[in-house]
Amino acid sequence: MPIDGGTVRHVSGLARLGLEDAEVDRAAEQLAVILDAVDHLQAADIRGLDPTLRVGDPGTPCRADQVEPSLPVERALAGASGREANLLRVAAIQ
Amino acid sequence: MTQGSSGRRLAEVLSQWEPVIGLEVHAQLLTRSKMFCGCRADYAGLPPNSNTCPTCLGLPGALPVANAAAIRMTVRTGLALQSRIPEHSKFDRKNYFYPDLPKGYQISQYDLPLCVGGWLEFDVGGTERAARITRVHLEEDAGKLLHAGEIQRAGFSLVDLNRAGVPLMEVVGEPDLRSPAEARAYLVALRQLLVYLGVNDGNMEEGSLRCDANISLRRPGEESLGVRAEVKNLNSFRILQRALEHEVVRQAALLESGATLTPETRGWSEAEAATVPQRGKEEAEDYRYFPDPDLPPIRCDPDEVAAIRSELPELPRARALRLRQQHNLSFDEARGLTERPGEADHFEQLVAAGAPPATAAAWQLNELAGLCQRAHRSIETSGLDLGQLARLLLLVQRREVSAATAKTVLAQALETGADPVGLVEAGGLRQLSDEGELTDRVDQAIAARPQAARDFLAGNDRALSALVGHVMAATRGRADARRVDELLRERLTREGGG
Amino acid sequence: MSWLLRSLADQARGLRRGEVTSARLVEEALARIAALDPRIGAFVRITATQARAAAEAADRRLAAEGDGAPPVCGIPVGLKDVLCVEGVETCAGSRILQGFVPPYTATAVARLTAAGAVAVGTCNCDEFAMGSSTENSAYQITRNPHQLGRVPGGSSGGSAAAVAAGLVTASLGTDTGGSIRQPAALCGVVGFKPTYGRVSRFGVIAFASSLDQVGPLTRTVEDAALVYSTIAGHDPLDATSSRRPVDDPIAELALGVEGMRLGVPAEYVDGDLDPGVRREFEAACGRLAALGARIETVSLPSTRFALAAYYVIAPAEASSNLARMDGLRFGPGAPTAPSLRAAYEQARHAGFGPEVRRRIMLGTYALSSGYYDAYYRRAQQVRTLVAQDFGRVFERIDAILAPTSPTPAFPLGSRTEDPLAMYQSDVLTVPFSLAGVPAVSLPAGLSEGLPVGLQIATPAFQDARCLRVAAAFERAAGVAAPPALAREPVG
Ligand SMILES: [Mg+2]
Ligand SMILES: [Zn+2]
Repeated sequence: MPIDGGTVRHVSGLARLGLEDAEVDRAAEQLAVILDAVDHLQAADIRGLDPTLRVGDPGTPCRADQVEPSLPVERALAGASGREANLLRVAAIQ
Repeated sequence: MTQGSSGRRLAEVLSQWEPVIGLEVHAQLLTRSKMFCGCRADYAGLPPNSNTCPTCLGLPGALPVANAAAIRMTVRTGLALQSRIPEHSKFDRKNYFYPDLPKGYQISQYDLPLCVGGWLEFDVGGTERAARITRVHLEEDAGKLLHAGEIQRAGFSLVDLNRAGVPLMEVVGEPDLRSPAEARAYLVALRQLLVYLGVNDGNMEEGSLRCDANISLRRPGEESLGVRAEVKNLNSFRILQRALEHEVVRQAALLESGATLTPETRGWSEAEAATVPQRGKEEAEDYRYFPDPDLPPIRCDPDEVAAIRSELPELPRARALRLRQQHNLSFDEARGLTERPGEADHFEQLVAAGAPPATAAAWQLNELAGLCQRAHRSIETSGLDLGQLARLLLLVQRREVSAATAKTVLAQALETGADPVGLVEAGGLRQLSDEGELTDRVDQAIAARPQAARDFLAGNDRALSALVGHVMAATRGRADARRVDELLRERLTREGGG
Repeated sequence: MSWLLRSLADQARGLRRGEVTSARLVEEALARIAALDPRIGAFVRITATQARAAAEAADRRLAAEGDGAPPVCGIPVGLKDVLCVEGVETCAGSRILQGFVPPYTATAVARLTAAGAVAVGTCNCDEFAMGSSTENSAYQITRNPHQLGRVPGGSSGGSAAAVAAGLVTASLGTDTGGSIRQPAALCGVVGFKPTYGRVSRFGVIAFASSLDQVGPLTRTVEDAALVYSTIAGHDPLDATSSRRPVDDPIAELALGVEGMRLGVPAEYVDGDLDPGVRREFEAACGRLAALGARIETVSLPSTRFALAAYYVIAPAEASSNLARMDGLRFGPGAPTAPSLRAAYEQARHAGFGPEVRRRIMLGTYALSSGYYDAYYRRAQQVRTLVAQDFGRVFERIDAILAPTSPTPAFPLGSRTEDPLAMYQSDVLTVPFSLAGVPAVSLPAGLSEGLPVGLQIATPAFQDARCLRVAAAFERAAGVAAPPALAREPVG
């Protein structure tokens, strides 16, 4: 499956990877090789098969609706790269 | 809602175009804890970022576990909307980056929602309508973004994650609504239903109930759909209707000018009293939905669903119908009394306590509602003793206490917690219904105000009210005003004629 | 011989007989790390102060409880850098998590330390567990203690090398497509990936949630069973963790394999195998046959699609799991970026290494509009196919035997420029991961002086049976000797 620079830019954009122009071509090359190998999947006969949604046990494990203690603000924001009082500070959305 | 030329233009557009409207309503569920963690679902008033944990902060390694009560509430809603509850459902991830979305994805439901199909009945302009429901699914709310100053110019935004992860139920309606007024009526009915079910508090101002609308226009009789606009954040009944009315007029003007519409996302600007385009996302949205591998698929056991169904409360429309039949109420009265479940409960308890139904209905909807509102209380929390209130209303019905007196003592009772009937007795406020005494009072009034009597006899009907007023003043409001009116007419016409 | 080169079971006996203390084991571990790890690079962080305190507590507990103390009490262990430990920086080998100090501890770690095990430090791994050589860590590479010019395997390479070199008695790793078993094979230790859902994933920095599983790396099969039974069991904090009771693997270890039917998938031995690996694997099969097992050839035809399915599913889940690494709530971030978009992109560009970027792109692509059905959905259908293959074989076979890795440890740098060659390292471990079944790798001889691993897999939740077959082999073959480096005198 060929993959062009435009697709790589689109994917990099969706994933917020910030690839630089010089990195795009190299990524396109590598992804093409990997996708080519992965394309082997198309040969599998999967007619009538459901996709795997889970492995392991059946059943729906849920939690009871109970309140548990939250983190103190200081611990919640301990790693924040930007902070203003008890709020997270982030660059403006443009 | 609309007046003047804009109203005329709307009417004109609506005569030539048919709006096709569907609503997407997000309702925060009234669970104790969040959707996937143990933080509180009710974050109101908490200091910023004090209601978070590793899971709702999206810290590495923290995992979600679904809140069983939220799933039950969603199924409950689906059942009330006549939805089908498929046995198999699942949570999916909706991937996008935003600072109010700590994990970089929202846990939602994509192709296997908890509830499928159904319909909602509602009244518009006195006629019954129904609109189909597409689906009801469960997801998690995002945090809150506070923009410092003007969003465009501010150098930064501030994030409070207290709300992140609160259970959010989305009710998606089919595009079955054909006017802004219908859309409003649909939302009114849906809100009422959710409050009845105890799954949402119905508070649109606080954002616990939020509404987006899809709207397109087509010529009446046309089958295919026009190009639709999505109008976001229509968070009051008034805004919903106004925004849709504006959108109808706007789209009609564009279509009539021959323009080609493109699908777009708009929002309501209160300042401009108009819908305005929302800034487009930088790239086409591609949410890359896929099943959330942290959350095994949900199996809705048919027996459990049946149990939830058996616990459904009486729904508003059924309750209104029953009240009408049982107590011989008018349509409006029954609808008014069943607007909120607590009010309907109050009415039924009042009747059970011995209040005559017609009086109880009229008083609860009018005098009592007014008094409570002034006291900043709801009817359910008025603090009035139901037995005492019922006895008072019985006296009103028997005309042993005048309406004016009853209102006065109720106001006092609300303030002090006193027994209103006790106040009547202590103040000697029972209505003057002794015919002999009333006749004496009427005669005294005629004697005291001869000019008014003459005016009345000369044909000035309004002069009579001066005489009634005199009697009421003389009896400190205890006289039955209607009987006084009758007696005055009798005495005056007999005297005048004789 | 150093206490650290003995088995966990031996150390536990020594602790109970008063021949050694936890404090001494921990000091010995710290001394060995100081002496040997500069050459290996197994540890990225040493928590000596906490370890000494925990050792003292363990000694008090051993004194008080004696034989009643849990078997891992007082034993020095290493923890892979993806396991969150409250108050200890945890980075998953990534720059993007530099400075991240979790306010919680992974359930597997909490169970181990609650049982008295003493964590002495954090083991290096490939960034976000993505890799098969531990060369993808942002912090350091880890070398194979058997030959320092070779990789230890990955992604739990630090955990494997630490045990192989006797720096700790046991370690925890995580296995997504082979990340416990392959480094165990390459370092000549035992590595066990339990049934998916058997050990909680809470507090495990996720690579691919539907595949990740925590497990032990140890010197012996019994040690693996001891650590496994300490960490296994239902955890309400992980919705994918199983509620089934955990079978006691210890009781079954001695049962042997006589009369068992062991299947060798034709597809696994027909492919490219290093001659030494093939030789040792055939010898291992012979040994098990001599113990009374019936060795049969079986077919897992969908195996040939497994690697491709894995390299769609795992990156797809990873692309989403790693979206939370946005530099806002933790990690260095980009506080001076002019816009939100730039902040995300700067933080993630600087924070992720090339392999992680590659997999995020691959996964994003596989999930993106227009490609979802052809890649992600189809890969999950193939996964169903793979699971059906196993289901069919396990109807008449008690366990599957396979080499763990097609080759022994490869030279450092030899595959870093060729992602596909690197991905091939997982070809024999990935199918079991997709099926969610338990699989163990244990030493089965040497190929030109480098360890070769034997892989044994059983049906889901037959973890005890898996370890039982491994124990039978180990009894016959003997416990592998530690590398020469580990036998150097220390201090
Ligand atoms: Mg939604
Ligand atoms: Zn939380």
